[in-house]
Amino acid sequence: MFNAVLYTQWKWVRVPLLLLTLASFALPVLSVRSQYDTAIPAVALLARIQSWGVLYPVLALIVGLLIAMIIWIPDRAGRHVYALSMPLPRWRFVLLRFGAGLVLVLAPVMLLGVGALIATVVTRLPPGVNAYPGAITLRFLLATLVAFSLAFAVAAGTSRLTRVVLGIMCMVIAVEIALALAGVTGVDPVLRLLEWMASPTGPLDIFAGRWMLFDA
Amino acid sequence: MRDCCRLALLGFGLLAAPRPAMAQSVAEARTRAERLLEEYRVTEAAAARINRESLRRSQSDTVEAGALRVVVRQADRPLVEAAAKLAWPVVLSHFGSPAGDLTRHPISVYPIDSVAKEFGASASFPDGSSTTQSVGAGPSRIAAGLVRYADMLLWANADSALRSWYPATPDPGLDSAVTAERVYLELVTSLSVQARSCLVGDDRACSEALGLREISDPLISSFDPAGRRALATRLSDLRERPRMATRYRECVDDADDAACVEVLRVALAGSGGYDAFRLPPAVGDGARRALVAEVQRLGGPEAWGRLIESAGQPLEARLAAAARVPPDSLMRNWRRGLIAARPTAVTVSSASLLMALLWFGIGLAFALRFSRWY
Repeated sequence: MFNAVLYTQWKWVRVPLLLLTLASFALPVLSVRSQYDTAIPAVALLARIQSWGVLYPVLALIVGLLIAMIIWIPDRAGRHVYALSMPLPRWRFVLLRFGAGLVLVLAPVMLLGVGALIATVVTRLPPGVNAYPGAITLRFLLATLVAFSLAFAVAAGTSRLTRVVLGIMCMVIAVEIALALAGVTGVDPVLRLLEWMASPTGPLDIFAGRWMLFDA
Repeated sequence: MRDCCRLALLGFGLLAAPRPAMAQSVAEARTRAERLLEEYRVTEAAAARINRESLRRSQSDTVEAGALRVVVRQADRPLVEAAAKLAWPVVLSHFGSPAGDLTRHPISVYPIDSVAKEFGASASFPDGSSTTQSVGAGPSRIAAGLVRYADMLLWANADSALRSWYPATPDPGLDSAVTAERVYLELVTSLSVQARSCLVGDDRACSEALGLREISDPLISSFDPAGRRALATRLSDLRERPRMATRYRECVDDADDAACVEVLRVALAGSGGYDAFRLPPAVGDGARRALVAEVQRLGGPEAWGRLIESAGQPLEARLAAAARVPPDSLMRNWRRGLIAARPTAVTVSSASLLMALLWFGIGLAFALRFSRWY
């Protein structure tokens, strides 16, 4: 059963997944491009790595969101008739979808790890600069898992859940606009929400901070 | 009608006005910066004078703690007295008995806002100059400010060799761990060959990076071809100068080291109508401060006394004698302290790991709980 679900999900996501896997492999390799085997000042290397570092969380977010959304599109389009015809409870079907999605999501993560290792091996690091291919891959894995899991919850949920999530977001924005129009300063719900999401207890904490393949 | 005339005049004025920002050369910008700096110094001296005068008029008092002499308003005496009592043992532990010289250099502390929440300090130096700094609020911060001033005053009384080596900029008053972390990053990211060699254990390179030994022809000895090329990229205005443009492009675009050397020599000499360029130091002020702190730590309170008594000898030997260790040991200790203070590496903390797994679980739980067949 799992293999069948995995195979159908693979068929639905293969094109974007292949592109994202390729991007994940290329990201660390390209971030050190033109610096293989040449002695360059550490400051230039770190500046380059830092500027490329912003792409890692963005890629993790795209991988998680896209895969989670795509694997539910056929079910929504078919009004869940295919799933209803299967002889298994709903929770088990959701778990199968989730597990198969996780397997697919792991492909870009693994290729990012391979890319990071290759980038580390081919670059001559200045003294005092260390490579962190394992740490960056672990962080990418966790960020992808969080994005996938939260997007999966929204995509798998009822239309009511989607409406509730969108409603909350609209309400926060409406309160922000209303406060601005009323001239109330110092209260910024959107900013507060974003700050909380990126705080150490928020879901975006793993995305925040420095994503450095090499660092001092 | 009058408004129309005003608008027309304003428009004409804007069109006819010179555009200094567009036409300003590096030399003009530098001259302007120097003029502004000079004006700042004059203003600062005037502010210090006014503050001292205001202290004198407002029934000032002198707080004494050890050799520290602090001039304050009577109303601020309890606060500053508490701060001075905290500061003196620190000063004594850094400078030992020569700190007694501070009796000749009173420090003025005064409120810099109307509610006496924030305080500033000023002092006059032996060369006639004076400096004013904000020292914050509360006994501990004022005490830290007094320690900074004591440090500046005692260094200002040292011999010229020490004075010219030690940073002239005021101590930013950072925690020693923060200073060490910054110095470590400076060593890692420095363009200087000596800084990088120092990091991997070359003691001689450390003392050269710290300016304790002379380096002959620093352009060649202190920078490798990649470093010279990186330096040349800072001279981007040479790309537009007809005489140097070709060699500049060969250096920056084609990585031709000979061209880089030529371009940098011209820039360093300031010849051919080019503005003089200075090679960046291997490490900044923090590195020298960290070394002195290490000397004081190793040599104890009397290290300063030994340092000022050895005037005339090479600086490296003086610092080592003050620390009572051989020069290479001093460098090793200094480097070890910096490496120990290296910033935390890029890792996923256990808290972040747990939170990520928690949010992953929350997502899965929501998917299982809220999924329905419609």
